[in-house]
Amino acid sequence: MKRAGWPSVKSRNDAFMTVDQWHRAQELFEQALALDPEAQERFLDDQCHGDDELRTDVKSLLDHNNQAVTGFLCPPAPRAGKKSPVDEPDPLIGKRVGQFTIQRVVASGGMGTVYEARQERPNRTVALKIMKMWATSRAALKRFEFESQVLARLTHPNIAQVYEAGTHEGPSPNSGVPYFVMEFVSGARTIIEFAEEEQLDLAQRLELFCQVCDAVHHGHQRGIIHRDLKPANILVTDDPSQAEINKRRRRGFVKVIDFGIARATDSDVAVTTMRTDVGQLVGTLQYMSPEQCEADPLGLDTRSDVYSLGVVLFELLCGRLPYDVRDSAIHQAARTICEHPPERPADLNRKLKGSLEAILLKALEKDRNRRYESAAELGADLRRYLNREPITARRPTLWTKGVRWMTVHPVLSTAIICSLMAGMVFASTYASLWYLNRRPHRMELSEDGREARVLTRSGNEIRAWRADVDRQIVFAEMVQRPAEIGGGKLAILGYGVSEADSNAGNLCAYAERDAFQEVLWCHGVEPSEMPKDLIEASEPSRRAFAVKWAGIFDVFEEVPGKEIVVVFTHSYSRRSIRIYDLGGHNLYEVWHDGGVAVNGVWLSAERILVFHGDSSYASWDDRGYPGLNDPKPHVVFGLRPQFGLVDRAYFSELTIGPEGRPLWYKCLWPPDTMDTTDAVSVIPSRAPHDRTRTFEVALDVDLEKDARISWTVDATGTEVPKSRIEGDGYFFYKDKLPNPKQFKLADLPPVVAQSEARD
Amino acid sequence: MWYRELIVTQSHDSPITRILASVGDGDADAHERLWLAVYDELHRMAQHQMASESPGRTLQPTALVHEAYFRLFGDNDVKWANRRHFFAAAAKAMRRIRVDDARKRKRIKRGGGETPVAAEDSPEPAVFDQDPIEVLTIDEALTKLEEKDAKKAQIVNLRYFAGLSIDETAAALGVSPRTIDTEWRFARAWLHRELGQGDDE
Repeated sequence: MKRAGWPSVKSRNDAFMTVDQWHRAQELFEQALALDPEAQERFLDDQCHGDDELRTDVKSLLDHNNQAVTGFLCPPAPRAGKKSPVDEPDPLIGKRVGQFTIQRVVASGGMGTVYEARQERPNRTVALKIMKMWATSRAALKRFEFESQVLARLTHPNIAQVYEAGTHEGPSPNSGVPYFVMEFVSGARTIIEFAEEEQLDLAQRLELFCQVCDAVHHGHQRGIIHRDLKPANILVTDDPSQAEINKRRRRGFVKVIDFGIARATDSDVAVTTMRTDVGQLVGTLQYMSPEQCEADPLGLDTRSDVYSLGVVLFELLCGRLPYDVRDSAIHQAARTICEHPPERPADLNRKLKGSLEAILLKALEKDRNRRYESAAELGADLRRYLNREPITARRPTLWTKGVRWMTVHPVLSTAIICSLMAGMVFASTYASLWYLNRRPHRMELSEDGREARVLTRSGNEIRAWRADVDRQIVFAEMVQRPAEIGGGKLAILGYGVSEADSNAGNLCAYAERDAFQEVLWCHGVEPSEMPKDLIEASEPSRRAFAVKWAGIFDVFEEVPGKEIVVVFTHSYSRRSIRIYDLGGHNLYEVWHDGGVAVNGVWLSAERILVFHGDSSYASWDDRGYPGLNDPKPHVVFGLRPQFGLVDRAYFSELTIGPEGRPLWYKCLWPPDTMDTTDAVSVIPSRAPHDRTRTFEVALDVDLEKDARISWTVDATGTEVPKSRIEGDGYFFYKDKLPNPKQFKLADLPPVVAQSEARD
Repeated sequence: MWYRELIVTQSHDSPITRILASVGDGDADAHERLWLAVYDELHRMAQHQMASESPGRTLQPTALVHEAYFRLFGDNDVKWANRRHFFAAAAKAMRRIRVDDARKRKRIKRGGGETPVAAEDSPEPAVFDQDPIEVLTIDEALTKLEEKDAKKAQIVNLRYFAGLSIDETAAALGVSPRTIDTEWRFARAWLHRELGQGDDE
């Protein structure tokens, strides 16, 4: 360079040049530039027409132009953006660093410059990476030494070997520029370039990438995190000698470079931010894991590398990055990486649908706990895919997606949750108020039997029925109707007898609709339904029939739901025993010309209905016991109802036997048991496991004093041995009552001979 | 988070963006403010980089201007007209910075020097890889060229002081690279002659 002796500015005659002359000179200069020297002379002769001053001026400028081409005002090595760091003549070229002679620049990045260099012993070409920063403290140097020793022990065919590391040219013993000497990968392209240029198919790309996983895993096993995985650090060479070493037929051989160098030199992104230009930083940022973007870069683990591998794999398979952050500012880019879900791989490349998409999304999970635990697992899943085996990654469930959506849209999801909750509070309040205040809950019958009411849980009255002055409501119950026959609730009422009312004695069902205003069905005893004997006795009126007794049982297995057993009694001693289903259909009917009391038991195991009353046929007088308070014997019937049977003939102890009629008929012994029939009752057994096949007969003398005696009876009317229980109060009545041991259910004694003789 | 620091200068509504908007609106003071802002940024960056760079290394004006551009605007889309304003201001600022630097360096080299600059006690190390005398003489000659042809002087500013390439200069001035090339050659030849290069031999 001949820059010695710069003179100070001389004044020249061109100060007198006018504006016109200046422009003219420029015009001629411009046109003459395109011509060769001889043509220039001729051109100037032509154009200047003897204007010597102009000609001299232009000529001298042209001469000066030729001289100025080299060196003069040379803009100091324009670096024309990203592309041409290599153009810049590097001052280190040709110099020696340690035992290495620097030959040329291979690449230049934010952290340092990589040179191709020659080593003397052994004589080989190496890659020499000289970092841009200085290790300034003794501690930093020590750590650098330690880390570089660790790196030197990292040997794997897919990792560019670090031969040695050192520091260069420190101004003081405690500082220096760190450098690394690494295996030189000749003919290297980045993995993306290689795959594109060689037009690899999907399987080949995956095989190539498995090598990367192997290499990264090898480093992880030795406790080294790469920290800066990106295509530029994953080189592929098709050097045949390399392929032979690996002994596998593959297109391309991976060399991961810069393993752990970020850590050794403390040049993580946090540190280099201020040194690298922004474009370069964004380039690196795209491959960084969310935790690298937002957290302490020193708290990283191997799963951050798994993420970066995921990004590279995404780019390798989809042809682009999972997030488009090229045009965003850094903070936006970081936020995108931390918060936005990646693009769906299958949308970009249809072949990825299913397994590969699941693998990619698992590697790219924002939460590192959901990622593959190691690069090896990622590689293993890819190999499973290649071998058509089931993979371990699962596509995120709807729930996971929802949770992610919520973390990305906190305001919106809070609003939705709040309004949902408000809605739920409102709805549940409304529902519970409706349930408490509007839903029928129970049925209540007043003590005098003149009023029945359907009440809600809160005690509101929905509907009330009032009987006339001279009659009662004898039965009031609310039942849930099975869904098969319409559902909802039914209020069932049995009316007592009334002299004035021809509708007396009906059993009526009211449906819940319209607050039980609707009568679903209503049954009484119609004249046409009466036995012939009753009609012949010239009492065809049904007026005197009323519900004497009713109970709701599960009776028939053939019919779904509950059935009602009803006893209609005549004002004299005629009774009709009927079974209705909840739809009001008459399933069974028998008639008895005698008493039937108000209680009964259903023995479901034996399918026997037990009730008690008195005999119409027999009297104690005839059987040798004259003068009793109750001349008719107390009897207990065992009846097996038969679905579909309606028998309008009276049964008595003479007609026991055929199906549908009483199976048996026992009298209570001794004959003068009590003053009133009402003191005798048949009740469900107190032993719960026996309730389906036994029942109890009880005699209540005085309820207040617990003067009661009871015993258990089986389905054939036979007393169960040792089942007798005496109440404490029975003692007081001992003198007035027979010996309790004499009580039993027995067949009626035969009619005594003297009355036969009398006949 | 570590990128906070960058957010400050990258925000859409940064002071520089507002100043650029006023320049576009024809605000006379805005040119001055833009120039000061760009000058401050470049000067600060030059100081900062020199403090952290290794001794003996020097700055590339091109890199400095590009980095200043990124620092001030980030990857935001800057209007075409505004980019021109920026590069004009940056070229002017770089010229000032480099001339100042050359003056200091010349004084250091010559032990206090002949240039009557306001005396500063602590000599700073040179920032740019440049010949201080070259910079000073070109600055002087360029002032003359400015009087004759401001446009050509501006091209030299951008090319020489800010280190832009032909294409970048063309983009910054909004004309074709061909025009820039011929005007640049002319200006360069003129300056060469003005400085008496090659005449003395």
